[in-house]
Amino acid sequence: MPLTRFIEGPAGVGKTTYAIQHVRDLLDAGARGDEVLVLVPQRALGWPYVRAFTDPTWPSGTSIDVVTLGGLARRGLETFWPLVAERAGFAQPGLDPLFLTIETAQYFMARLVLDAQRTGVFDSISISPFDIMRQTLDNLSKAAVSQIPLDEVADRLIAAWGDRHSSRPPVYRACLEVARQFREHCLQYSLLDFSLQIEVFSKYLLHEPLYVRYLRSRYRHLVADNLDEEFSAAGDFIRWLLPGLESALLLYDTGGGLRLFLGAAPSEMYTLAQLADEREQWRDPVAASPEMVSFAAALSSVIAPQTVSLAQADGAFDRVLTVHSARFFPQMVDWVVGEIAQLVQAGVPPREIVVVAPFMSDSLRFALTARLHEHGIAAVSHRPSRGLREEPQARVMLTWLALAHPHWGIAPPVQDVADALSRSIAGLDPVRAWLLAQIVYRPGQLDLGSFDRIQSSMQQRITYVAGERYERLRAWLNAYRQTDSGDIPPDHFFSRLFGEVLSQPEFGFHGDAEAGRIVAELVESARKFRQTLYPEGAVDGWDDVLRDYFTLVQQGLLAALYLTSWRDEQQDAVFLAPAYTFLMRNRWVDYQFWLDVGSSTWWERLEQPLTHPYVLARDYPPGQVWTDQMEVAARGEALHRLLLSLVRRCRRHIYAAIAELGEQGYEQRGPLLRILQQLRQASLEGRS
Amino acid sequence: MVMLPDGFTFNQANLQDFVDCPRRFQLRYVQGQQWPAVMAEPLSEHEAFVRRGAQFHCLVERHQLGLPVAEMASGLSDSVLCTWWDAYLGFEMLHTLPGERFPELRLSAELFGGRVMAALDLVVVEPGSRVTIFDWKTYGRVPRREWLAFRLQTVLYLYLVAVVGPGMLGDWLKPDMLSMVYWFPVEPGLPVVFRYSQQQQQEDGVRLAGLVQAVLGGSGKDVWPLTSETRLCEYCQFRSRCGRGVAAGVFGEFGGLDEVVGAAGVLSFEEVDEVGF
Ligand code: SF4
Repeated sequence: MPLTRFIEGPAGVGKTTYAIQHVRDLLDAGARGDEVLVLVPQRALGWPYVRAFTDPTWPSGTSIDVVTLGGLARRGLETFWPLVAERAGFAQPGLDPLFLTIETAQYFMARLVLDAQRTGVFDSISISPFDIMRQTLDNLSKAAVSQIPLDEVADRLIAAWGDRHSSRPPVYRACLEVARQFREHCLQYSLLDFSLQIEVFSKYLLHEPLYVRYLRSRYRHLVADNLDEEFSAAGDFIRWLLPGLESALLLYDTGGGLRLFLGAAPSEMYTLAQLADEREQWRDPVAASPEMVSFAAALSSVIAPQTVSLAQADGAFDRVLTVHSARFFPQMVDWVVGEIAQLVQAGVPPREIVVVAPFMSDSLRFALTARLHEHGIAAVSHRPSRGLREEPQARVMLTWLALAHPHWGIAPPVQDVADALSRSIAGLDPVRAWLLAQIVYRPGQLDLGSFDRIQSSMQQRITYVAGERYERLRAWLNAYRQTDSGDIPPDHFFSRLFGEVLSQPEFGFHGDAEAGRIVAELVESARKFRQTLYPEGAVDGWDDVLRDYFTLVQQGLLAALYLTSWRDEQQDAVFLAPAYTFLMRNRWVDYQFWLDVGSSTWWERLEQPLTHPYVLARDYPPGQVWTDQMEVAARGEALHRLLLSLVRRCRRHIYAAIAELGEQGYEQRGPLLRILQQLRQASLEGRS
Repeated sequence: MVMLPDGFTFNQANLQDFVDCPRRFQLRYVQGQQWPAVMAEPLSEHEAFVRRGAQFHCLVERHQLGLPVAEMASGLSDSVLCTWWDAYLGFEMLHTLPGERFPELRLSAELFGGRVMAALDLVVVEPGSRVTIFDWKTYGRVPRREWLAFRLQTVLYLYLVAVVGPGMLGDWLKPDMLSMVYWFPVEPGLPVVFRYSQQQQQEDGVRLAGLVQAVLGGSGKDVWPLTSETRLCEYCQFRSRCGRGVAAGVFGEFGGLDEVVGAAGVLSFEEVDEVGF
C-alpha cells in the first residue's frame, strides 16, 4: 500500500497550495510529471493546478495530468475503445465513440421527449420539455455516478414519493422510459453521454487487463482534491487505484459537498480517510480574518447549534457584516451598486468584489450590469446555458436560414426580418430596416424583393449605401438557393453566411467579437447536432436536417454551449453569479454582496420534479419515503454549507442586502433573513 | 506588455501562427476571438481531412500501446484510412527500431520567460544510444524538406527534447543522438529525417527565444502587424475580420493546414465540463 495522507479542513486553510507544493516536491525527488495524477471533481477546481503547472517557474519535464473522473474516462475510452465497445453492448463497435455534453445529449433526447409529451404522460406536472430533458439526463448521470442500476431510479423515486399523489409514479416511469430509449440510441451509434462514459469506464475499461496495466504503470502518485465534491464512482476509482501507487494525497473540504444536488457524495468520500496512513485536520484559515472566522461560527451557532454555541462565536463578526434593508427591489439594487462604487473609488479592484444570489434572473443581471456600467465599473456574469434563440445574433442567422429555404413554408415575422436586416447591414438603423423589410418582404412570398425595384424616394430614405449592401446579402441567399440549397449541413451554412457576408466589411458582424462568439456557438451546436443524430454522416441530402435543426432551436430545445471563458475570470470586473457558481470557481474575494437575503430561494432546492439528489444517492435506503422533515433538515444543512462556504471565501467584508418586497413584489421573510436577525439580536444583547 | 490568458502555453502551432501572422496570433490567443468562417473549401473535404488525420493518429497510438491489430482493423471502413493503416503496418523503419516507446508524449518546459509545450506523436528511446521523434503527417503530398526544416514544429520538438530529455532520460542524451522523422502515409517510403546537433540546438534556441520574447513584449493595445503574405489569408478564418477577401482557399493547395486547425494554445486539461452548475 502507498503512503496515503488524508488532510481535511475548511476552505481557505491552504490545502490546495500545499498539494501543489507536494507535487513539486515529488518532481524534485525524481518523479516524472506524467506519473502524477491530479484528480478534481470539476474543471474549475483544477485551475489552481493548471496555473501552477504552466507557470514559467515550474520545473521542466513531462506534463502532469489534471483531470476529472469524466475526463479520465473519456481519454481512456477514446484510446482503448476497441477493447470494450462490443462487450459494453455497442451495436457498431467499429464506430469510434462520440462524446456528448449535456447540451449535445439533448439533440436526440429532444425528439424522445417531444414524442413522450404528445402522449400526455407528463401532463400532470407543470414542466417544460427542456426541463424534462435536463432532469432525465440528470437521472442517468446520478445512476452512473452512484453506480445504481438505471431501473432502480424509477423504483427509488416512486418509493420516496410515498402516497402523496398517484399521478407522479407514471411520470417517473415515463422519464425512465425516455432515458432507456436514449441509452439504446447511444448504444446503437457509439454516442457516450456523461453517464455512459462513467458506466463503461467503471464496468468494463477498469477490468480490461491492457488498460489496467497501462494505468497502473503510468501513475505512481495521486493527488485528489475537493473529495467532498466527488461522486461515489470517483471514490470507487480511488480505492481501485490506491494499491498500486507510491503515494496518495487526499484532500477533503469540511463544510463542502456543495455539489450534492448533482450527485456528489461527501459522506461516502469521507470514508476514504479510513484508508489513510496519516490523517491531519487543519483548522486555521490562512485567507480569512478572525472576524470572518467569528462570523462563520456565529452562523453555525444559529443554524446548527449542536456544532457551535453562540458563546463560542464572539461578536467580532459585526465588523465584517453590513446588513441593509430597502423597501423595494430596485432600491436594494441601487444600494448595492452605490456601495460597490464607493469601494472601487476607494481603490478596491473590481475583481475583488462578487455579487451573489441563489438564482440570478436575466433582468437582475441586466439591471446590475447596466447600473455598474453607469459608474464606469465593469461586470462579468456567468450565464447558465439557455436557449440559443435567446441570442439576437443567433436569431439573425436563423432568420436567414429560413429565408434561404422558402420551400419549407416557414415565413419569419416581418419584425424578425427587419431585426435581421438591421443587425446584418452596417449603417442600417432599425427604423430604416423596418421600412425596407416591409417593402421587400412579404411572408409567404418566396423571394426577397430587389432594392432596385423600390421607389426612388424610398431608396433615398433607406439610403443607397444600405441598399447596395442589402443587394449583396440577397444575391448571396439567391446563389445559395440555386446551387447549394439542401446540399450542405446547417453548420456549413452558418459558417459561410457568416464569413462570406455578415462579417465582411460593411456588414453588421464585422469586427464584432460577441457576434463571432455567438455564431461560433451556433456553428458548433449545429455541427454536433448532425454528428449526434447522423453519426455516420449518412444522409441523402441535408434539407431535412437543416429544417429539424431550425425547428428545435425555434422551440427553445437547443441550448447554447457556453463554455465559460478564462477571460471572464481574468477580467478586472465585478463578478455576478448564482452563489453555487461562484463557489465552484473556488475563488477568494475581499468583498461579497449577498442579494435579496429575505428571499426564501436561499434555502430552496431547484424545482426538479423528475429527479432527487438525496434519494438517488448510493447510501439512501431504497424503499424509504422522503418525508417533509427530511426535506426541511436537508435544506437546513444545504443552507449551512452554502453560507459557510461563502464566508470562508471572503477576506474582508460581507454586505447582505434585503428587499422587503421581493422582485415579484411579495413581502419576504426567508430563513436567511431570520438567521441574520437572530445574529443581530444576539450581538446587541451581547453588547448590552 | 501583452496579457496572455491564464494557463497559456506556447506550442508549435501558436508559435507558427505568430511567425505566419502576428495579427492572427493576437486575435486567436491574446483576444481569444472566435470567428467561425470557413478556412478552406470544399468544407466537407477539409472536415474529412481533419477527421481522418485524427483517426489515424488515434489508430497509431492504440497500436503503440499494444492494442491488437486485428481488433483495430476490423472497424475500418474508410478506404483511405485502410490504405494508410496498411502503409503504417509496413513502415519497417519504425517497427524494427528497438527501444522504449512513448506514444503521445507531452513535454513542458520554461523557455525564455514563457511556458512551452509539445505533444509528440511518438518518441522511441534506446537508452544510451539514440532518441527518435516520430510525427505522422497526413498531408495529401510530401512537402519540401526545406519547408519542414523551417517549420516551428521541427525547431521546437527537437529543441525541447534536447533540453528536457537529459532530466527525463539521463545525462547520456546529447543533441547529436536525437532525430526527428516525419512520416507520410501517402508516401510511406519517403520519410523526411532531421538529425540534430549541438549547433542546431543553439541556433534554434536563439530563434525560439526571439519569438517568445517578441510575443511577450507585444503591445497590449495596438493591432499587431498583418501578414504581407496574403496567400495565408485565404486559409485563415479571420479573412473577413481583416478585410482580406471573401472566398476561402481551395483545400489541398496548401500544406500545413492541419497545424492551423484546433491549435488553441490554452492548456485545456479537459474540454468538456460534463456536469456543471
Ligand atoms: S486574415 Fe491574414 S492578416 Fe488577418 S489574421 Fe489571418 S492571416 Fe493574418
